[in-house]
Amino acid sequence: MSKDLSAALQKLTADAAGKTTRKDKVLSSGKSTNAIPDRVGSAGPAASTGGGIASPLTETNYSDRTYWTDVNITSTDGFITFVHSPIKQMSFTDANGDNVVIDYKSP
Amino acid sequence: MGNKLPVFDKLRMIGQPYHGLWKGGTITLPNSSTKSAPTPANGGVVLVRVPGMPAVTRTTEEATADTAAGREWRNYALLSGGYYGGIGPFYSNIASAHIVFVDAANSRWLMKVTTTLEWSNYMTVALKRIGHLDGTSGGWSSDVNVTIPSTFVASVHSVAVPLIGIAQNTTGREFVLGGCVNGGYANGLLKVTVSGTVNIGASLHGLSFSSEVIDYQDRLNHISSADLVVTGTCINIYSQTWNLKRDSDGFDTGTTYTQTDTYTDGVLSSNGGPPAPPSGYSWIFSSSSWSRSTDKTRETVAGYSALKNVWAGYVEDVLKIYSLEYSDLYTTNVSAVWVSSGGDTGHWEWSGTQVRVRKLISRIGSSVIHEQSETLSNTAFGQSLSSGTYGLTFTAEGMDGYEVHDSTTLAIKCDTDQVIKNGESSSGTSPITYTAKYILPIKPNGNRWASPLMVLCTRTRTSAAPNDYTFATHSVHAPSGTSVTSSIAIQDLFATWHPVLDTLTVDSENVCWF
Repeated sequence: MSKDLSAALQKLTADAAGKTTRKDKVLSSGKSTNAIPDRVGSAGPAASTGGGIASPLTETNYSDRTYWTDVNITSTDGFITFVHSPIKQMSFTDANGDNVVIDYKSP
Repeated sequence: MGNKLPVFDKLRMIGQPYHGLWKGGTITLPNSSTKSAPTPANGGVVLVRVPGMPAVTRTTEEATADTAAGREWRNYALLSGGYYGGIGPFYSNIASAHIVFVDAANSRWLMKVTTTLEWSNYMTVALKRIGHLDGTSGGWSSDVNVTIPSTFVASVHSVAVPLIGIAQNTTGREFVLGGCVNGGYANGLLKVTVSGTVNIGASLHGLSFSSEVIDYQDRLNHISSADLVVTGTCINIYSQTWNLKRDSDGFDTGTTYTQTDTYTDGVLSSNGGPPAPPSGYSWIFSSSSWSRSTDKTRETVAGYSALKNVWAGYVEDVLKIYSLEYSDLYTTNVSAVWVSSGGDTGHWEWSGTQVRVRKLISRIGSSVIHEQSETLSNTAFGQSLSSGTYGLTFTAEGMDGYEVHDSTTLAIKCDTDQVIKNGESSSGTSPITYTAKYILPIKPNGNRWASPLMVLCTRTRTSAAPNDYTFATHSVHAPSGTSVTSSIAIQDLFATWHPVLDTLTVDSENVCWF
């Protein structure tokens, strides 16, 4: 059977030799443009759209800092107690004006 | 709010690690280096212990670094001449007492006590937080009035005899106040006990106070007394012997009876006469005799004494009261002796000695620092008990004249100076030299910071110049019992005692343990 098919395909190919419906055409000439002048390019970091932080970070305001509950540190002889406020959060803006927050763990 | 640290720093330890002997402006540390420190008021050192502070532990490397740097981390604090390290002073030059008080919550406070109103019945108390660094500034609380016995307040005068804090225990929950003339003893001593947690604004700022007067200016402490102790008995025995004989021929049956009459201190007890003889027989008197024995003694101690409590100190939390006592006592020790009048007659008499001794005793707590004793007389002493022929009516217990058996018959006020003068030894004539060896506080207390140290000295004066004193120093004494011999003139004498190391240092310049 395949032998017959192969023979049939070969006859069709031979019969079609030199026959086509394509009409030869010639492309029109393109629009003329000016040459691109010489110039220097620049490139920078990619924009932080949900991803990177642009240096430097500038703290927004000292009063924006938040703190964990006060911790008492007492001298070895018990006479002096130093009350210390552990930092909890500091707020910044980056070079792109985006807000950056650093959260510190509770001591 | 709070103290802000550089963000990434971690506080590992804080404290006051520089300890040693202060002299001439610096503390000498254990590594022999020196560190500047403020001039202490004197050598008085107060120990402050905040309850529950653990011993400091260091790694080998940390300890090596500490040793090299001269640091010692301790779990107790010292107030040295009124300073905590370089911080202070915790006193003022006005008539007030300053106590470092650790309340029930272990918060530290400076308690200021004043009493400027004579003949009132209260002291005024204010509090200020100390040792608490929280970025805020704190001042004195409002004054509160705490009731105290008016007898003590009468010992204090705002100008002449101002109030001073004499001593405190390690938490300041017990302390002793006194009225004090600069350089002299305390004129009155009041022990105060405080409890509770400070609550500024509440009644008495949340605290409870109680007080006990240990001594006061007008206390009646000069006593005349007499004590009598009689032991034993005097025994006279009269023995009579009868023989039982036959009436018809006088035959002696050999049966005898002895009647024994025993007089014990003149009181008769007897076994009675012979029993009724059998019919035809009679008891015939044979012989009699007296015998005597005694173990009777009598001791009387009579005279005068006065005790004055003059200062106070603490060893940790144990209060030591310092005192001077004078006594001038006749002690009579006699025994009963039989004085015969011939044959079996006679009477009992006392015979012995009477000694008069004058003493001046200095004590710290119950420990005698020095007892100056002078025997003024030692004489034979005898007194007839009675005039009865046989000495059977034993009476006249008080025939030596000391009839009083009460322990106090007369009490008057005797101040410290009078105690010392009453206890003086005397020698020579025209002029008479009076000497007294006793303890007195070290160095005047002009800055209102007390020292617990006493100087044992001899004071000499003469009848020609009775108010001109010369002093000779013998030793310095701490409340722990530690002492150091010294002959430094009292006006040039300085000393300091470390209340934990129990080290007593004496010098001719101001020194203080930090």
